[in-house]
Amino acid sequence: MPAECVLVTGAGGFIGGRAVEVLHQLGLEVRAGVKRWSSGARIGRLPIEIVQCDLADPLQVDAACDGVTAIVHSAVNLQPVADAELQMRNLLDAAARHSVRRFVHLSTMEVYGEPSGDVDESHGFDAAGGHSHYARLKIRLEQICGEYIDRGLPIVILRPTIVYGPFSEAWTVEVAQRLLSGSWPLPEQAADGTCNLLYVDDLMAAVLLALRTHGAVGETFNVNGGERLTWNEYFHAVGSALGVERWNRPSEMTARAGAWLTLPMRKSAKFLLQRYQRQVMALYQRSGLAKQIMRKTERFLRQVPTPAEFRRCSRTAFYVTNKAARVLGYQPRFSTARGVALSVAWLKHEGYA
Amino acid sequence: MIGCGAIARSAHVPALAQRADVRDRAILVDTDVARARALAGEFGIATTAAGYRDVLPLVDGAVIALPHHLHFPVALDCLRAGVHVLCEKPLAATATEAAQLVAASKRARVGLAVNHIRRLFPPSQAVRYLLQQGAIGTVRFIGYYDGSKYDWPTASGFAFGLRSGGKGVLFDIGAHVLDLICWWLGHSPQITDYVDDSFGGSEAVAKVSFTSGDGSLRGEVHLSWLAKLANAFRIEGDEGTITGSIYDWDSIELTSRSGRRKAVPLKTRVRSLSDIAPRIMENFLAMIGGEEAPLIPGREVVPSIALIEECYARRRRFPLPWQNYAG
Repeated sequence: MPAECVLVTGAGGFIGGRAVEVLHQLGLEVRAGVKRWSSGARIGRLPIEIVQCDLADPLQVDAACDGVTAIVHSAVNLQPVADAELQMRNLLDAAARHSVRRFVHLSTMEVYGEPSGDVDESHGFDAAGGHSHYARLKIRLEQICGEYIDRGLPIVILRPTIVYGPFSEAWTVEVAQRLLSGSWPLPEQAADGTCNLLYVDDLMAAVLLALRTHGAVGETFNVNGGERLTWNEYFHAVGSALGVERWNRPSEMTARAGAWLTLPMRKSAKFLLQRYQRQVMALYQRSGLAKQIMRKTERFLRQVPTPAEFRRCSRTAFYVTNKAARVLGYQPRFSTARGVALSVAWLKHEGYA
Repeated sequence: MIGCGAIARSAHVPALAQRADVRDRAILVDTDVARARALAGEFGIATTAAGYRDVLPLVDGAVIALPHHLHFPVALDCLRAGVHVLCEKPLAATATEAAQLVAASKRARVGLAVNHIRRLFPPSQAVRYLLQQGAIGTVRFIGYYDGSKYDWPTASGFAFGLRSGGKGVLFDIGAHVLDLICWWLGHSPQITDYVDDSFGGSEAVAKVSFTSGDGSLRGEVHLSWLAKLANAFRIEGDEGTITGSIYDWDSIELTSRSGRRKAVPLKTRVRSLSDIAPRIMENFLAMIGGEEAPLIPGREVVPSIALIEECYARRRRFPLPWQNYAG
């Protein structure tokens, strides 16, 4: 086993996948942990070790941690909080058993709820309210990390903001697809909130610093990009890079009504797909009418914002990174222009644009 | 049944279990015996084994559904033991290996079939028929675009990273596509360029360019495990164009030279992969019984394996500026 071997959990995902690529490029031994083998296509391009690491399976987790010196924990599932807690403990227990020298836990700015103004790490979880299930789950995981920090496990917690870049479904692919469709579901005035845009390689810089900085252990850091731009400015930057200068936007009333009225439809579709995926897919394959209806529904829902989107895009909070700069030496290096240019180059390469 | 992973579970074993006489005598083999037993239990099959060599004297035929790099050695063992073989694609990594298997099947007087299931997709069959009928005249261009996020429920992860032997989407999906192109054309084109995104592991995006020997035809294949592509094909000829979807099997479109478009309905009851698997298995069983020739014989796939080999020999990487970490 070489001097440094880093296990990345959630390596099949957007952030975990990039962590694997960067660590490998820097010459570190990387062990890429995936829950399902099928998520290995991106990281499989590297000549690296990929292991199955379903956090719900203590034996798999223990084997994945065997011999590693550090862990970057980026795996996340939107599951019941109790299940997520158990899985987090499986990983932290294994990390302790194998005496890992550093554990970087990727949390989220969502733990702050719906604040406004400048937000630093001293901002309490409960100060603003408005927490989503995801936010509550991540808060609980941070609290569990706290328990293990008290027991001596060298954990560093990072709270990234809106992470975009190549392979980002939510903030790169979906934004581009909506723009390319010629219409945007949010009215201009509903997207004037602060975007807190963070290019994925700036997050990677913070991860590397968290792995290496002695004084970081036991601390929590916001990780944000350097520019205070609005969501509208981000959408325009992507549109411009894609060559889409104008797009249709609905009135605020239409968009808000659509957001609320389609909620039951979204919930039903999600329930059906979660519970009866095989049957739904069989129906899709065998019935032309069902196929048409499903495609139209998907297209329609893609063009209607959710209430959560309204809240996110009007939020005026800016997550400051003074502590990361002071303790880690973190400085974001990617301007929006550069990050968007790389993202759009990637979108074109993959055939999205 | 050698290998009890995803394709065995979703296609071969259900098809095999439809025939009670075969199901009662079938043996499921997997080095992961628990996996073999679970699958056997699901389909009412009594016998399982951990190794295939011990069971070869007991069987007439073997379905090989193993990680790609094991196809050749295991198929060779089976054929040498006088056992008929239905092998998952790709049959082998090189044309030499594939030819060795064909020779072994001849020597042992047993059949060698390959599960190039896409030849049985209704649009593929319709294209072959239209080309044979001369519906678009001499073919000048073939484009095939197949991509979606990898979601095959692979049980072992053999397709990725160190374990892949540096072969990815071309070896997996490309094996289908290049075979299909050779089958449609009735001959093998020449590779002119090959680009992918491998960094020493399994490529996830690949582009193949090819031409005919005399340069009268050119073509391109774009494959992706990372993103959804058009999932469609386009074949242009002197007299017209055929376009179609790979996975929607309602119709394909025929456009005449004058631009008149006509939908050609695919009158078929085949709606999904689960409708094709029983046909493949029936053919294999009939082949063992000496009643049918293999639907896709091993010798027919050797040219497409040679094309894959040629692609990897020419391999160069896409420019991917976002990959370089400049921190």
